[in-house]
Order: sequence, then structure tokens, then C-alpha cells
Amino acid sequence: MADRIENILDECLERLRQGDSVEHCLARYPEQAAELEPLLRVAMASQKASLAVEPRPEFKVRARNEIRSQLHDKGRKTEPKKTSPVGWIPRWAVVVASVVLIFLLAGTSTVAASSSSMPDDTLYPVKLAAERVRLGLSRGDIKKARVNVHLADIRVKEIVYLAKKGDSRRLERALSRLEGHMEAIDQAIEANADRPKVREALTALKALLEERMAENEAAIQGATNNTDDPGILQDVLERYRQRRQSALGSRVRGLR
Amino acid sequence: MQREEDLVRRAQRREPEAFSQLYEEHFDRIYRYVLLRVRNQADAEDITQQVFLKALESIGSYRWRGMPFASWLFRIAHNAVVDYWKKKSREKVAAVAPEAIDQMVEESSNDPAALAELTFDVKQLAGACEQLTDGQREIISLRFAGGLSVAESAKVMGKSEGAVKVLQHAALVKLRRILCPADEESHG
Repeated sequence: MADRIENILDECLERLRQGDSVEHCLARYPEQAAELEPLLRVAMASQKASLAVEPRPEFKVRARNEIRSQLHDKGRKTEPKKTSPVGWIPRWAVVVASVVLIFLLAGTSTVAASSSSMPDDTLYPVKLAAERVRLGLSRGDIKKARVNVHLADIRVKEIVYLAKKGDSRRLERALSRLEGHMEAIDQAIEANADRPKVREALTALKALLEERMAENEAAIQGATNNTDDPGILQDVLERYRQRRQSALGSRVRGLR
Repeated sequence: MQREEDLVRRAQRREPEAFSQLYEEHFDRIYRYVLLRVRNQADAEDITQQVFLKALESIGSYRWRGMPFASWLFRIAHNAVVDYWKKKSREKVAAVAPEAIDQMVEESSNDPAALAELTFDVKQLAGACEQLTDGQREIISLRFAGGLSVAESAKVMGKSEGAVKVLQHAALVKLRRILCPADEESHG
């Protein structure tokens, strides 16, 4: 069966990348040569044009210094854990201690009350902190992904609430958090897709994800009819759908 | 591949030199990809920096299996570019076009003979890419500005390798039509 032109083109592009010439590529595929040649030349010109561009040296230096500064700061933040007299305490114990501390400082009723708070409430930071603790307590990618599915639901409710209030600044932040949860779910699926031992758990996660994403999409869609500025929610809906497509991509669809 | 996997693991353990090396290896290609997508030098610089700061923040959650590191990094860049254009469309600010690209090319090339050709090529490429579909523009940017393989590009775009090759072919056919109309007329 004749090879498709897309495959031949890609094979030739790979050969060119490895230093072969256009003429050699065309000689391998004489029947497709007339069609191939201009496409190969456009590809080479596009690559040449792109590679001709270099970042400004001043920008590179500035960016490098910023990254090094961040690396240094992160290094300093991790050092105390290594040198602390209680550095031998396992991670799970540190997380449990954090939960206890949050309850002690905030009070159990405060933490409970924060669970229904919205991004414009004063207790919202407590809610986010409690969520981080919950994620930290979850062991394993799949369990964390399930928690992220639940947290994504919460973010969608917050987004719908903020859209109705017209608070676009907080909505952007909530959307950014939502995308963080979706990204984490995506990565967990990708990282475990080839592991037979977690196939069942992944299938269950996929089913949960499909169900929740369909409901969330419907909620966002419904909210666009009840807001003065449906444009914001249309943007959110589009981005959510892209995330849905990505998260429920080919690797997950293959799971049954 | 083994070496990069090793570097990534060390970067995840917060070894500064490891992340710095990853940064140096991928910086230019991320910048070129972002620049072709946003067509503005200042914005491309901001976004490129954001990409690496985000990567530093979230490298702990990266898992090697199924997603090459370059694909993971370019996905962060892709999302940053998408967010950029969403904000731009809400602000209703027109994309800065050829002047920013002219300036960028002048700063990067000292060869007068090559300059005219390069200016022409880059300007045409950026303008031509504006006429492609989102997917076509993305594949051209990933493959030729970012230097990603088809497999890596497929991971970034969440598509199969076959679908990426079809997009690549369609994008090049269209680019040829836009960039070389005379050639198209004489050869059909």
C-alpha cells in the first residue's frame, strides 16, 4: 500500500534535520517529488527563519539571574527541613501536624466554615490551606488526582459565583487554580497510563472525570445565561473544554 | 534521554545546577516558539520567563513516563500563549506586527547581505502563520521554531502522531501557497 504523503513528508523532514539533502529525499520518492519539493523548501526556509532569531543577550542575563535567584530562595526554604533537629520526622507526620496546627490556630468551626467560603470571603485562605493539606495527605498519583477532581468542582462553583458578581480579577485566579487541578489530573493519567497494576483505578478515575466534567460544563453553560457579561464565562467554557479534551485524550479513551 | 531523565530527577530534588542546565538547554527554543506565536519581542520575553518560573514551581509534579520533558515544558509555554491571547482579545489590543519583528531581526544579525533575506523570511513567516488555523500555526511553531519531534509535538497538542503529521502537511501546503504564490501558479 502506498505510503501516505504526510508520512513521506515527515520522513523527508527528519532526513533533512539529520543533514540529508532535498535532492536525496526527492530521489527516494520520485513519484511524489513534484509535490514534495516545494513543501520541503518551505519547511527548510521556515526553520532557517526561526533559528535566525536569538533572544537578546541582556534579556538572557536578566532571565538567568531571576531563575538563579528563585533557585537560591527555594534552596534556602528546603535547607531548614534538612538541618532541623526534628528533620527525621517523616513527611506524613509533618502534614498531620499541619492539619492539627490549622485547627488549633483557626479553630475547628472556622475551618469548617471556611469550606463554603468564596474567593471574596475572609476565610477563603483557610479553605485553600485546608485543601493543600488534604492533597498532601493523599498518597499516590491516582488518589491525588481524585482529590483534584473534587477540587476542580469547587473551583467551577467559585468561577460561576465570581462571574455572576462580575469579579473578573478573582475569576482569573480561580480559573488559574482550576487549570492547575486539571493539569495535575492530566499528568497523573499520563504518568500511570502504562502501568497495568493501576488500570482499574485509572478506569474508575476516567469515569469520575467524565461525569464531573460534563456536569461542570453544563453548570458553566447554564451560568452564561444568567450573567450580565457572558463573554467571561464563554472564555472559561472554551478553556474548560480544551482541558476536558486534553484530560480525556487518547490515552484515557483507550482505557476500558 | 537517560542524561536528561537524570537531570530532571536531580532538578526535582532541588539541585540548582540541574535545573540551570535544563534551563540553558531549552531556553532559546522556548523563546523562539513563544515569539512566533505572539509576534512581539517584549511580550515573548515576559512569557518565556514566566514559563521557566512556572516550570521551576511545578517540576516536582512532573513524571517522566508518557510525557517527555520537552513536551511538558512546551505545554506550559503553549498554555501561557493561549492565556496571553485570551487576555489580548479581552483588552481588544491589536497584535503588534512587523515592526517588532524587524527590530528583533536587526538585533540578531550582523550580516547585511543576510539581513534582507532574514528580515523578509521572518516577517513573511510570522505574517503567513497568522493566516493558518490554530492547529497549523501551533505545529509550525512547535516543529520549526521549537525544534520538537512529531512525537513530542503530539504530546504537547494532545493529538496522535498521525494527526500531527496531517496537520504538518496541511500547514506547509498553506504556507507554500501564501509565501510562494508565483511558484504555486507555475507548478500548480
